[in-house]
Amino acid sequence: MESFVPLWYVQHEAPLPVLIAVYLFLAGISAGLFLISTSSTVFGWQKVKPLARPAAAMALAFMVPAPLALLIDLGKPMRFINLFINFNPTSAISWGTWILALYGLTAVVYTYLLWRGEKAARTWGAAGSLFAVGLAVYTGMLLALVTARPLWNSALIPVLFVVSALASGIALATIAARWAPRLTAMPAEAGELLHTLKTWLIGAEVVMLSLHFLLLAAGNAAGQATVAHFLAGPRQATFLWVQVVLGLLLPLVLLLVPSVRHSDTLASLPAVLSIVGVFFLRYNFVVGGGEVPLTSHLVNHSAAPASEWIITGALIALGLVLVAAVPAALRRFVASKA
Amino acid sequence: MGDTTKRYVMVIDLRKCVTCHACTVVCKAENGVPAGFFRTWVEEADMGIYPNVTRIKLPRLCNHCTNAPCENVCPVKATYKAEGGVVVVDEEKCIGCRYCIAACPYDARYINPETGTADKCTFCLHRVEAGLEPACVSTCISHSRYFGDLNDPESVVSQLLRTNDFQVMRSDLGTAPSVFYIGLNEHMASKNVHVLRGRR
Repeated sequence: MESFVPLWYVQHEAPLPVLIAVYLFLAGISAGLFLISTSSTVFGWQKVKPLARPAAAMALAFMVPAPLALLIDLGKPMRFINLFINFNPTSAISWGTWILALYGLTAVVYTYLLWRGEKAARTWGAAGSLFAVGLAVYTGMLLALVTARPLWNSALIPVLFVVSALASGIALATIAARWAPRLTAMPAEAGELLHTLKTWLIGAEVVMLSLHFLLLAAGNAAGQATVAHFLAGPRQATFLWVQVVLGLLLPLVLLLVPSVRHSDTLASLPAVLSIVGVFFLRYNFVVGGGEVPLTSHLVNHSAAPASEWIITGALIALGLVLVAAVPAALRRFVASKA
Repeated sequence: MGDTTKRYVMVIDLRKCVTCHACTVVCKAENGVPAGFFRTWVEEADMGIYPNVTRIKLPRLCNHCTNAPCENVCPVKATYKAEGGVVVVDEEKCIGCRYCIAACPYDARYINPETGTADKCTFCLHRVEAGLEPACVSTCISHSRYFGDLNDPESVVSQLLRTNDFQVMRSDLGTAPSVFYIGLNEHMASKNVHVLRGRR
């Protein structure tokens, strides 16, 4: 066997920072909540009808901090307008710009009409559902289109992102029902109604992630390096322990235990864990995926400055504040127009 | 879109490179590349078991791909092909979203902290337009780097590629690079990324 000893390499930066992961996380929650709302108003799943209004309001709330994360991350934030002027059909971001904008617009109209109890909400909800799915799909396609990175370059990624977006939306609805039923107007039975769906979604996540990593391990050197990086390397803690064990397997087990399901205090624990899991799914794929070097023998540098984490915290907090504020504001707004 | 009758390429004869890193230095000086970033750099590795040991060298730069992933993913079309198929960034258009950096298989791009926009090797187009060679080519002490128009059969690059075996990096990705190597080691061409080290 020939020995190969790397001597001098340039260490590159991981291309995508934390804020991109935060954007994917918040946009995913919003899209997930929106789809929960329209599952009764558009798709006729009558059992979850009580969730339609509060879920739509929460989806709106998370629509605000999501694009802010994108904007703050740009090297030239004031040039975001270029995204609307120049359209590149081969760029996922070009499509995403319009999907995000149209999703935001339809979500506002839909929620307003829904809270007013108008029939037209159904049409807007149908259009919004299309954009919500598009939003989750494009965030996955964004990564999947990068052919050089085996972790990203898979058709499973957009599907995984849609499934995890739904899972995070359901998790948030469950948490709202348990901890802030008054503020969010989320009915107490939300967690129970969505229990089966949630269990299947998390199960699907486990299956997809396992299959993806099995294929990577069986693939080329770059794929194997990715698996090593995530299972035994620098990403072991945030991927294997936090995302997979704490954020995926543990909630799945807890969801399957009847005593946890019917316990007043423990019932929202799987929701909290799985939302952590979805955040770390985004974080590990976006930031960790970029750490796997393409041409260097040194792991790409990705340590984020403290400011980035502070902005992350602030954006998530803004989402939560709006979750509490939007329903009340909607109620007042609708009443004033009545 | 620039002059498409030309195709500017670089041919790097690795048999001649002595890893003096003069190209790295002159590129930084010529293009004002900020500290911590490189438009061109030279990688080194040792291969073999004593006494049969070889020092492998690999000068690196943007590959100016004919099918450029960075150009495909740019949402504002700031990355485009200039004269001779040279891939360049319109500094006035770029929004600094980093998507091109993520898409580049050759680690050739970075965000310039001074401008907030994506930055990379331009084949020193400003020099080429003035009738000069790229700075790294003109400074190379061992005449390892050559630059020219591949569509001109009399150019030195055409002659070199006609008379020598040559390789490109990551040919499996179908990017059709415009940087050709003579004597490229297969370990370096596709990068056996099993050997990873953390740093910083």
